[in-house]
This record gives sequence, C-alpha cells and structure tokens, in this order.
Amino acid sequence: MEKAQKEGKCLRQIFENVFSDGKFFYTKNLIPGNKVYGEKLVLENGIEYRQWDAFRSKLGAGLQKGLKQLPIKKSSKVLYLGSAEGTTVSHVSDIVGREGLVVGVDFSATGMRRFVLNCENRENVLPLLADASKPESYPEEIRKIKFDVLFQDVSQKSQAGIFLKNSPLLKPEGFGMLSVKARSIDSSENPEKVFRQEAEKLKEKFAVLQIIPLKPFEKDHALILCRLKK
Amino acid sequence: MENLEILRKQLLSKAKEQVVEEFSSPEIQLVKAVNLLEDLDRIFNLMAEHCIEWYSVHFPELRETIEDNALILKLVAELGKRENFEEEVLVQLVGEEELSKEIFQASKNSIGSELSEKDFAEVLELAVNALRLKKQREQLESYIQEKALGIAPNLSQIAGALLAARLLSKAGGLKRLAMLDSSKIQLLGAEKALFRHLKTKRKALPPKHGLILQHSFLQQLKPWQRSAMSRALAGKIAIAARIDFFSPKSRADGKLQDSLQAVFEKCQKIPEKPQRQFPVLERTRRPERKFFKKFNKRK
Repeated sequence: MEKAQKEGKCLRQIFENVFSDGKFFYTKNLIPGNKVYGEKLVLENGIEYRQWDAFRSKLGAGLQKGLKQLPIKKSSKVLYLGSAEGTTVSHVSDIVGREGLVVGVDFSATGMRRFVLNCENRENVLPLLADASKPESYPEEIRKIKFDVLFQDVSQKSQAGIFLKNSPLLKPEGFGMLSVKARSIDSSENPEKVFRQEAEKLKEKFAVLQIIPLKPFEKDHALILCRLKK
Repeated sequence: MENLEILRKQLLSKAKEQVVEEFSSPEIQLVKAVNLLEDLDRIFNLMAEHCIEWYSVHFPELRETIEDNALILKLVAELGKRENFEEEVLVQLVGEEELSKEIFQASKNSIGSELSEKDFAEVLELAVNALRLKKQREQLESYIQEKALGIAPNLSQIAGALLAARLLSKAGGLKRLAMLDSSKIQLLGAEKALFRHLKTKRKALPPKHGLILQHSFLQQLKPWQRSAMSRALAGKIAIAARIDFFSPKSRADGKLQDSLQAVFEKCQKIPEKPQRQFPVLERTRRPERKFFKKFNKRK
C-alpha cells in the first residue's frame, strides 16, 4: 500500500469520472492505495485519484490532445483490444466503476502475465487471451454481451480490418475508438496519409467524429473517434 | 451480475493457465539466453576496455604487443605488476615463445608510471571480474548450442547452432521462423538498413544479409560474391526450419548441406565486377524548428 500525496489541487471534472488540474488528467482510484504502473496518487477531499500518464497510454494522450467527447462513461461496457499490461485498462476500469465492465483482449502471453496480476483485484476487468482478429474465437458468454464502446490499440497491419470484424459486438450506435499505429501499416508512407486511409476504411460502418494525431506523446500514432451508423 | 462474477473467475483462471503453458516452452529459455549472450559480450568489452585503459598507466606497452583483450586481462589477473613478468611464467600463460619474449623485453624497458597498492587492487578486481564474465559467457554459449540442437536439429546443422539460436530468438520461436519466407529470413537483423532503403524511396541500397552474415560460408566469400550465397542460404534455412517445425523427427541427412556446398563453390568463382557509380545521397536539411524561427526573428 502506497500512501497518497496530500496536495491541494483543485480538480475539475472534464468528462464523467475524468478529472483535470489543468495539466494532468486523473481518475478516481477504484482500489485506494493501489498503484498499477508507478503513477502518482493524489488525495483530495478524502478521495484518492490516480494521475494518467499520457506518454504511456494512448487514450490519455488523446485526452491531452483535445478529445471532444469521451464515450467511456460510468457503468459502460467496454471491449478493449490490445490490453497489453493493462496500463490504460486500469484507468478505463476506474471510469466505468463497479457497475461497468472492461474486457481486455490480448494475444501476447508476456503482456498477459502482468495484466492478470494487475486486474486480479479489479472486479470489473475480465482478461481474455485471444486473437483479436478472430472474434469468433471468443467465449460464447463474451459474444453475448452488447458493448457500449470498442477500444482498439494493436500493432497489426490490418488495424481497421480487426476493428470492423469486432464491431458486431457493439450495441446499435455504439462508439468506437481506434488507435492507429501508422508504422505498422506502412513504414515508408506519410503517417497523415495512413490515418486518412484508415478512417476511410471505417466509413463503411462508422461515422468518423474526430481524428487526433498523438504527437508528441506517441510518434506516428493517431486516435480515431467514431460511432456506428444507424 | 452473479453470472458475470463466475465468468470473470473462469476467464482469470484460463488466462493464468495459458500464460503458464506459454512460458514453459523451451524456446522462451533460448530467447532469453540469446539476449543475455549479446549483453554479456557488450559488458565484457566495456569492462576489458576500462581495465586495460587503467592498467596502461602502469604498463602501456602490453596493449601494443597483444591484440587479444582476454589474454591481457589474464596476464593482469595472474601476474599483476610488470615487475612480476618472468620469462618462464609468460611462456606458460601466452603459449608463444616469440610473443612472450617480446612482452618480457617490453616489461623491462617500460615507460609506465608506478601504481600504489590501493590503485592496483581496483584494477586487479576489475580484471578478475571481467574474466569471470568471460567464463560465464562461454558456459552460456555451450548451453545455447545444446538447446538449439534440441529444438531445431536440422536448422542447427545448416546454420550452425549459435546462428540458429539467434535466428530463433529474432523471429520469436520456431513456429514463427517456419512461417517466414526466405527473403525475410535473409534480412532478419538488418531491419535498420531495410527501412533506410524503403524510407529514402530506394535511394539507399538495400541490405543483402542480416544475421546470416555470421555463417561461415558467407564469411569466407568476398563482398561481391555474397548476394547469391545469402539468397541460397536463406532458402535452405527456411526449408530446414519448416522440417523442424512440421515433422520434428525427420532429418534432411546432409541433402541441404550438399546443395549449399555446390552453390558455395559456384559463388567462389564469381569475378569482381567493375565498380558502378551510385548516386550520392544528398543530405536534406531539417526544416527550421518553430522555436528557432521565433528566436531568430527577435534578433
């Protein structure tokens, strides 16, 4: 158990359950006293908050770069592809709270080892070691759930393809967030062009709301916010 | 909600099982060992460099007469100060009479300065530690070779056990290596050069070989003979890896080796071509950064 720093920061609520002191973003710690990746803990009015490191989380970077709208809300159900070690997942799990649900899917056993340890005491996180490009291999129970939000952060060549394959798991008019890594799609093409191409591919099913380049937090990455068409 | 709790427990235990299963494969140990080997080499070179640099204050001529770092360290660790360099002991340690005579002469007429006991203790400690590291490295190497022979016998026969282990670790396991095409195997380990080639719109030359350059056939050939050889070698490595993965019990019995030998002999006869003039890459200047622009204006 780590003790939180007592600091008189005036935190403002930016999105539901997401706070900011003007420089950093914070989420309410679901398990007070617990650190996931060595982040800073801040105590205000008896509530403990965890600082969101934008350099280690693409969603955090998206927030810093001016995300217009955060579809992840209290008690939403989130399908998170490419959970890796669970850095971002822990913040998402903070936001959705105990009524919500986060399913973290990852293919790599190395990442999953840390993820399992991290999410063991977070009651709203389900780990799933599976190939995100084959949603039909998910367990029956998972496929029955209608998710509110689909978040994807994988470094594969067919990032938009994987995203579209998983979109049937969303509920009607559900939101999608896709973090594009331009370098794993085409290592020599201009990243801006790759972002536009990927957004174009999504338009088959989604309405693209915002494309945020994640410079300087991540090189050649962008976050695409989109919503299922009616 | 109760269902969810049960589901969560199931998934957690399943994920744990899969993780345990994944990490119990011998390939994981091999990958870790190969990574360690490369780092040990780096650390040893660093330590040897520091130790010899320091020792040179006392006896600078030693470094000029001997090229092998490990041998210098051995002399430092066994004999210590240059006054202790006796001819008979030197012959035993070095193994060559001429060289040891040379060292002995140098130790008598050295221009090095004196080191105090305390200073010398530090140098000695460093030398002993570096030698211990060297020993560990050799043990690790034989461990890796043994492991590679166990995992991929055909591949080890074609590529040599150490190179086979390096390829396996770079590709991330036998399954992945077996799935790679031979052109990718040819360039494993040459990613930097490959992407330089792609990013400069093919103005920079493409690499011919990555890790497989360490193979003894390629080492024996002249640079202009290597391209054909590396293509052939990569092809045979791909075949061997596939045999190892898909039918682990079968052996190629030297068939691959024979055809490689034939290609090698052909390649040795390729004459040197007259040097072609390649266009020189123009260095583009980085665009001026915003901060500097502002700064310059104010001036």
